[in-house]
Amino acid sequence: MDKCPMCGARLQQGLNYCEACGADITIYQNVYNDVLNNYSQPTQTPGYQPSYQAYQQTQYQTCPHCGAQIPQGVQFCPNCGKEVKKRHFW
Amino acid sequence: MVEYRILGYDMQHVRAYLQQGETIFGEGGHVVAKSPSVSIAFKAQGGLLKSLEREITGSRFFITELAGPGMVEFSSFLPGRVIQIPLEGNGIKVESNSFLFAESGVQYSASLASLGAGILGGEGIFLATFRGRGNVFVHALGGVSSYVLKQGEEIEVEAEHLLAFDENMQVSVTRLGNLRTMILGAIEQEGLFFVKVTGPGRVWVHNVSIGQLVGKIVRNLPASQGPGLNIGGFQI
Ligand SMILES: [Zn+2]
Ligand SMILES: [Zn+2]
Repeated sequence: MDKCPMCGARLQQGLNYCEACGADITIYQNVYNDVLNNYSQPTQTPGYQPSYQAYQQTQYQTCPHCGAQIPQGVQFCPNCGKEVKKRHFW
Repeated sequence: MVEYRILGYDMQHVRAYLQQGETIFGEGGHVVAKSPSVSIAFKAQGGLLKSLEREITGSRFFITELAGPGMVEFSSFLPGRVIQIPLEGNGIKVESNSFLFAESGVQYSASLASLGAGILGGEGIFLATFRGRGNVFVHALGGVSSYVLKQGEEIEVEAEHLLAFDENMQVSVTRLGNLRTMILGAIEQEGLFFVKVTGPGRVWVHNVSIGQLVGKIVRNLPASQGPGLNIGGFQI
């Protein structure tokens, strides 16, 4: 991620938030996936009514550096700040 | 593909470069320049124009259709940032004064839902819903703050600072205090109103609220301007 997914500002390498808008970029992809999950359920009506019952919870993984339970797919550990693994979201 | 350039620093503006046959729809009052070859039609996508033409906080939400080829530039009347929000089948709700334009694959809702009617001088906040596939461009007054909220996580945003949020998020309005004499950010109002937004989802927040800006300006007007001014039903 070189640009903030919330505001488009250039991101400072090594920071887990955007200096322009304050967004926590470590959880962004998981939260956005949760948002998109509201629209991909089979119970979806033509009016795009989100189906809260079928809501999918965030999946977790263990940080290889500090052992904290952290959301799957994050680039930096929200607990210790170290890079979990090289990964491009888009 | 429409090409976009978000330009500027503290006063951002955005240019869209349209090919022949490409269209975008935008809020007519925010168009600042265009190629002569770009046509503007006051024709609403889905024939919903009528319901969108209603008066909103002293201005109108005019949806126009702009057709290429050529360039069209959108800006706001105040400094701020242009935010590009891509939709992939999902939806967002946008405070209606902040909408600049969207791609033709995006649908907007006919109902400008009012959040918290009775607050902010009686009209509440008007939200337009955008859904579909393509980019939506909105303007953040002064600058933008944003929050990424996990499932069940909540934030309370001062009502006039709310810019946009994911459609699936639950919102409710709360009021603190009920004294007519409360002076908040230079405006006298009946308490302080917050919109509570619940995750999962994304929330965009204006750094400047138009009401507070107007309040500051009015308080600095020379005395010769008269004994006071009535804004939104409140004597200032
Ligand atoms: Zn940002
Ligand atoms: Zn860690």
